[in-house]
Amino acid sequence: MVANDKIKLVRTLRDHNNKVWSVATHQSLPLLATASADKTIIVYDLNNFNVITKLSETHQKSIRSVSWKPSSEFPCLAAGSFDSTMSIWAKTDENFEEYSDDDDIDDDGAQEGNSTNKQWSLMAIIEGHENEIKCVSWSADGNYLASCSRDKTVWIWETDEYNEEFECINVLQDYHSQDVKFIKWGPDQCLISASYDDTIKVFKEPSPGDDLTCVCDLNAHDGTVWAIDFEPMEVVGTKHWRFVSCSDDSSVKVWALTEENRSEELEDWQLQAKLPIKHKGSIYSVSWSANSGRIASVGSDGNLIIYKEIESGKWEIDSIKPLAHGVFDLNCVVWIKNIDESATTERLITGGDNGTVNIWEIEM
Amino acid sequence: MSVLNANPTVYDVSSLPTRHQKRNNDFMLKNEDLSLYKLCLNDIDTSNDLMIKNTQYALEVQKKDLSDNDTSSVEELSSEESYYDDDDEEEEEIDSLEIYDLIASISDPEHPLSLAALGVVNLGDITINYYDESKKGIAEVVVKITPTINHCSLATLIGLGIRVRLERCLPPRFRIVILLKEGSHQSENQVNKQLNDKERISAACENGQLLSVISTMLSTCV
Repeated sequence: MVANDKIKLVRTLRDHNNKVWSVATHQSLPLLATASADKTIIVYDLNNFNVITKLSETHQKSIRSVSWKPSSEFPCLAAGSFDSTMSIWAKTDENFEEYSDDDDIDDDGAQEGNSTNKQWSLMAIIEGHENEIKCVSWSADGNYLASCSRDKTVWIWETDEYNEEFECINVLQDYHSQDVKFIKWGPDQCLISASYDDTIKVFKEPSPGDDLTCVCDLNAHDGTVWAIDFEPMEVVGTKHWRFVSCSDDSSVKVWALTEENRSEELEDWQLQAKLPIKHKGSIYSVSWSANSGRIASVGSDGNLIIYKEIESGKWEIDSIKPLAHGVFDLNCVVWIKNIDESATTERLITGGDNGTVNIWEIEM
Repeated sequence: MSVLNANPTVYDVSSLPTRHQKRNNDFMLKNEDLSLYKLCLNDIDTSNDLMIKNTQYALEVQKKDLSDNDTSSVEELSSEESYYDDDDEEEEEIDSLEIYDLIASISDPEHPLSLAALGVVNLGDITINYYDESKKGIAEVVVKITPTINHCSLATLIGLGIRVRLERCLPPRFRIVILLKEGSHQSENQVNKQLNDKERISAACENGQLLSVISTMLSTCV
């Protein structure tokens, strides 16, 4: 039996006035960033959902994607826009070159009022792509930023600690035959791309410092692959890797790699599971929970669906929230990582075409 | 600009189906225009067939509507289905003839004719699929278009124009699917994929140049 009342709406944020395309939470700070077709990014305090700042008047077109830099002395995010540029924002001293390591930044999110000497500033605008940027993602160590576009390429940028200088160190081209819709860095500096050409590709550095090369090419779906998410390291340990993908073909699939199928030049990712098909139409986003190991998916049918793994590689539907944003499409879903490991509930965030961001709570 | 298909089949707009009381005459060709678009005599038979088919279909739809109205009254939207931003106005059930009326008068980007007059949109190629039995939730409108020639490079533009028109006119609960009629185009799958990619459409709708072409196409809509 699938319970439909397990997923409870905690809060609705109505600060955007057009489609919400992307939501992202900070790895260690209680910060949420949302990106919208209204050309703004809003940063929220995750503790009370107050608006910390609204970043606007920079992009000419929709902001499609937003990503927090995981390891940074101060909060820093990248945003990719349909105007083909990327913007980098950070909260710093007004004169950030005098920024001191002694400043306590851990509670910036929660204590905005106490840190009046700091402000959110535009650090850089990065140009390079020929047309719309679809997705941006930081590597786990924060050294690299990747961006992908309708121009079929993925660009890898190296950054400095001040987030002012970005140098393109590699352009991954001639891999995808169509738009690259989504990219995400995983463990071990591997990068996964998903495309309008229905494939997923895995890139790795053959040895540290080398350029990324394609180590796996998956004819993954019978339609555009819209997103992937890695199984969080909290859930898996280190000898086994998995990610989940979602597609226009209405399916959600889990892919697995074991140590024996892995070499420096080649990774033989295997389809491990097809999740129960419940969505109708395109599935735009998936997220894998670090708290419970559950997967959430959202799409054009308005459903928020949560799946749980009952035994290794065997999944069933845990719960469904229909019309999660009324009759509108849901574009993105992200689990919030619990700080308190004994928590009995966990939360997730969705963004929809109606311009709202919803916060949901569900029992573990 | 060179005309791709200089000699398209043209239907008499006044005999095409509609629920409007009086057909808007913007597309009735003047005599001098007609000389530009020589009607092929061979095509008249097919055009008549199509006209009859469309008219019969319209009559059936209307008959069905009448019988529906006899038995059931329009139900209130349940609170579950109301959404945040928009007005909760009660809406009447939408049928394919209504969709047809919304898009029939869109101008072809190439010919000074409507998509209906060119047979690009046909009443029989419009279907509405409901996801739920109540017919009040998310539903899908499928419009199959028939380009005038099977290598028409403007098929994506026409499809986009239809999509923009429907997105502006229909309540947000409708998902619009635009497809090329089977066998009507040599790059059918490619065009279909492009016409239904949400992200590409959103980006296209932020392209000022493209939008101005589309607004010209839509300027003839009632």
